[in-house]
Amino acid sequence: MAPAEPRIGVFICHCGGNIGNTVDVERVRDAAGQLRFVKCAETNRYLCSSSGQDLIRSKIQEHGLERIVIGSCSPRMHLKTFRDLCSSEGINPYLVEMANLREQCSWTALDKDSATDKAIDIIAGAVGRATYLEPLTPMEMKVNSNVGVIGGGVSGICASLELANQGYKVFMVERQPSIGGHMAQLSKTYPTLDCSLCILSPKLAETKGHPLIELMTNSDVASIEGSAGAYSLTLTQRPRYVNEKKCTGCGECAKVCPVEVADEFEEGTARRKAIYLPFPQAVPNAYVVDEENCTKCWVCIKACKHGAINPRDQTSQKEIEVGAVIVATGFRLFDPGVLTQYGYGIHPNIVTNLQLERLIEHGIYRPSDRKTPRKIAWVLCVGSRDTQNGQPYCSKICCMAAVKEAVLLRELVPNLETWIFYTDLRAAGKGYEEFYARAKEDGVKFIRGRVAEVVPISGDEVMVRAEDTLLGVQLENTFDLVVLCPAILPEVGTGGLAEKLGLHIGSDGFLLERHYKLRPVDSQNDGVFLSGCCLGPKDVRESVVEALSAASRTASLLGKGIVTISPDKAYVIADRCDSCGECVKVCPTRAIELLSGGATVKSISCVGCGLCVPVCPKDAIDLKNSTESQLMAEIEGVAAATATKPKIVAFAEATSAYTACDLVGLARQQYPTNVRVIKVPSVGRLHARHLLAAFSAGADGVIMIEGEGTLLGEERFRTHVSEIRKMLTSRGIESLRVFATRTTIPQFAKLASVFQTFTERIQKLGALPPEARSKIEQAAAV
Amino acid sequence: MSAERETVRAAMLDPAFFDEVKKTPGGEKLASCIQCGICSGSCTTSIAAEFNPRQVIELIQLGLGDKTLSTRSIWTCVFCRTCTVRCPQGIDIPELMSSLRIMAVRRGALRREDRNLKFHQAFWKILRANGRLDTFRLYSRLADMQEIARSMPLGLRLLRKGKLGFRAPSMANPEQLSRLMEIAKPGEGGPSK
Repeated sequence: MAPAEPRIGVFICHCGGNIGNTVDVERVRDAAGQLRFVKCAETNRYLCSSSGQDLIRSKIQEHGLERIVIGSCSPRMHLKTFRDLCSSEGINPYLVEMANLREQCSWTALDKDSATDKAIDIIAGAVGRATYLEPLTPMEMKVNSNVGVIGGGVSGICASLELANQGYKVFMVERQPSIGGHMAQLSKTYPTLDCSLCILSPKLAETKGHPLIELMTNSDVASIEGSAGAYSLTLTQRPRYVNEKKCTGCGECAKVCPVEVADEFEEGTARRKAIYLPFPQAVPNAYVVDEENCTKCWVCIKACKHGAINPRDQTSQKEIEVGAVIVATGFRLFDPGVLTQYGYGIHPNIVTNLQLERLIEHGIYRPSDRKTPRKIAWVLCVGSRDTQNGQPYCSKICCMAAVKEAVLLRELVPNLETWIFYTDLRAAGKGYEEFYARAKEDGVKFIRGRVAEVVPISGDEVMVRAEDTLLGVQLENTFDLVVLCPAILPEVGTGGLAEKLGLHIGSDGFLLERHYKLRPVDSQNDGVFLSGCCLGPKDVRESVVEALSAASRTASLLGKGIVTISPDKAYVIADRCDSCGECVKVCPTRAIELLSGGATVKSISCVGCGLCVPVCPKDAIDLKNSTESQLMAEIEGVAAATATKPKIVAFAEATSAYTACDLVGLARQQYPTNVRVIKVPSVGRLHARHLLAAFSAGADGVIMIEGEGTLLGEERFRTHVSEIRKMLTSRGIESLRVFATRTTIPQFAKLASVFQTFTERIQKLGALPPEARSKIEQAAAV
Repeated sequence: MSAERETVRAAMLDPAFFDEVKKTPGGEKLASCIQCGICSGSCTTSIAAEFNPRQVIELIQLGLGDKTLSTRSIWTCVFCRTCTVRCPQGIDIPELMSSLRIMAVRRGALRREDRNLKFHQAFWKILRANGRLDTFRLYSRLADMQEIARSMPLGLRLLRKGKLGFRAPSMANPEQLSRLMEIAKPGEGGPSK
């Protein structure tokens, strides 16, 4: 309930020219000053700067302000800044409202006049909402101080050790039978030429021996529940058929095993048995049965003198409780066979760079006859920087990896010829350019030109054809080993895991960080952090940097021992509730139960989606910080303040859809200024009455945008929208005036075109006739 | 490679040329070229040319309009499409070459006696008349007496093997072809709507 005379202050930011160039800030301020309960309206060049903050402070004191509206950038950017500021002035942080004049107004508009009108509407909505804001206090919850680390490559290992050494208990989950990841497969690492396993094995051993790290190999994440501070992970461990504790790694079992298959650790350059040790330094150092290829003859049982083999081993499930999760699931290589011109799989001497790493480890030979190669070519950008058959991005590590391999092999093989065919040689990194210079000094030949084709010409030799673009001539040369450098892709299953953990995926398939620059290892889900190649291609050093960052972020979440929980929760108005149970049925997190006194919300489980609010036939349930009166006042303000025609109100779900709307602005994509966005916890929070209120106050069209993967699933979204439509049609609103869609964050560009085409549609339909508007009002009055 | 190396000066550049080419068929994705050279490494005919496809794109990007339209390199493409299949940015180079040829003709960048121009005009004329290519007539329109004399031995060999005939080949349904021709509208750079 609003106090009798709330004292509201409105502050509008120029944001340098970011807002001021397209919005007449002074006109917006004048309009804001006219709004009800507004005691002062001010502008400033940069409200977030210390002088801007001082202005707000002094005005709070001067006018005795109780509620603050900031018209500036997106609340995603600076809500915390302004809440903290007001908090220090004794104003409850939940009495601060931000009007998004930058991402959702100035950055998407060209015409200053109409953009200013739009800004006035947005401010009016924010002031309306601010009138009804209520002081709230976040709840506190004790956190579980355990950490789950998913992925046991170098990134997962370093994050685990960092946390375990700080005293946190870590559960490390690895899909493979051994930890170590791709780094274990590498010969040496650039630019220092450290032997890869020499620096990695001690870390593997330390992980295994650490009293605070519990290692689970051969395991996958089946499901996850909970929120930051209290996650419950269900893990599935596939059978190993070998008792890790009893196995001594003697290898007698493998000697008798009759099955032989390609060795994945050796990238197919060698073969292994169906019972095998992934690699000599594997951790745990125990054999494992390859379930897919084992014929279950079990001759190995007899061969094992330690009774370590257990044919009855089964898939087991385990539940772990953790406060935070680090995802470090790594990468896989692009399949070079897709680019048929490179002949991968056709000639034995055409290999990938990861295969070459294994060949180097085995004393370098060409696969056709196991002789030492005399002339090697590297083909860079195989599937990278390729929008047609591969990935549009640069895979970043291949240039340096090829340079390293060439340098290394020239040391190993006397008189070896090494040719690197590159598109652009990228050696940006500490010591990388120097390393590249050394390679040229050593005699590695660099040809600028993406290889056109690799053609087998004899049992041992293949011909490489490319343009030497620096000369503009075609070049043909014969080699006895050709190394393809495939693009780096996110590991298989990254998408599935993202879905389980509520993470977002970018258009490139990699996981999306919360903020590209400032929160580079945070995910969209509080309490889940990201590290290594699951975020994008990177080398060992960068993977370790991110591991340490993710560990630090995890520690600052768990170290306090408590997490604060947003107070945006549903609550029941007890005297109206008749215990019909509709809200219980619709709650996606099972946060509402029926007790003797009526429905009761468990605040810890409630996520504040608001799906329960519109289904209550008695209006007995409401949502804090998105109450009926707040929402109605905002709609009224946005729809009624200016006479823009046609006017379109877009309700955007708070997380994905609202963020996507921001990204449209960040990308400076233009759309008609007729559209004004109102943030709602979920489209499921909306009732037909909210849309009617919008139409009655001045809207001519309404858009509803829900994020994909929110608790309002696709099915329920559709029925919900069609129920709203039905109700509107019965009140004389044409169905064409309402549009609903779902989006992911990376699909933001589609929103700009939705806004464009919907505005065109409403322009064709014309403004809502006044009779229709008054009909709604009459019905509302009754 | 160009034989003489002329300094490119600002006065030689046509800033609108790049945008103009971008609007023609094949030019759509021109801006995304990363000059990787896979087209030219794959090209079956540019060995003889002054500029390879990658360099032609560089000429366009730089804005050397006159040079682009007057070079014979835009006439060497035989539409094998190997470059386009491999191009990581999906640039339709043969289509681009077609557009450049049309631009060259329209701008009068070719001399009347230009062989490429004569070839395409003769090719088109014969196709319109007969519906099929008639090698003998095409050749006789292009070659002068000296050249005919020089290639006589080859001509005779082809004749003997039945690869060359004096009688013009004809097609079953010439009306259909003329309808097609009407739609295609020669010189319009593609079918008109």
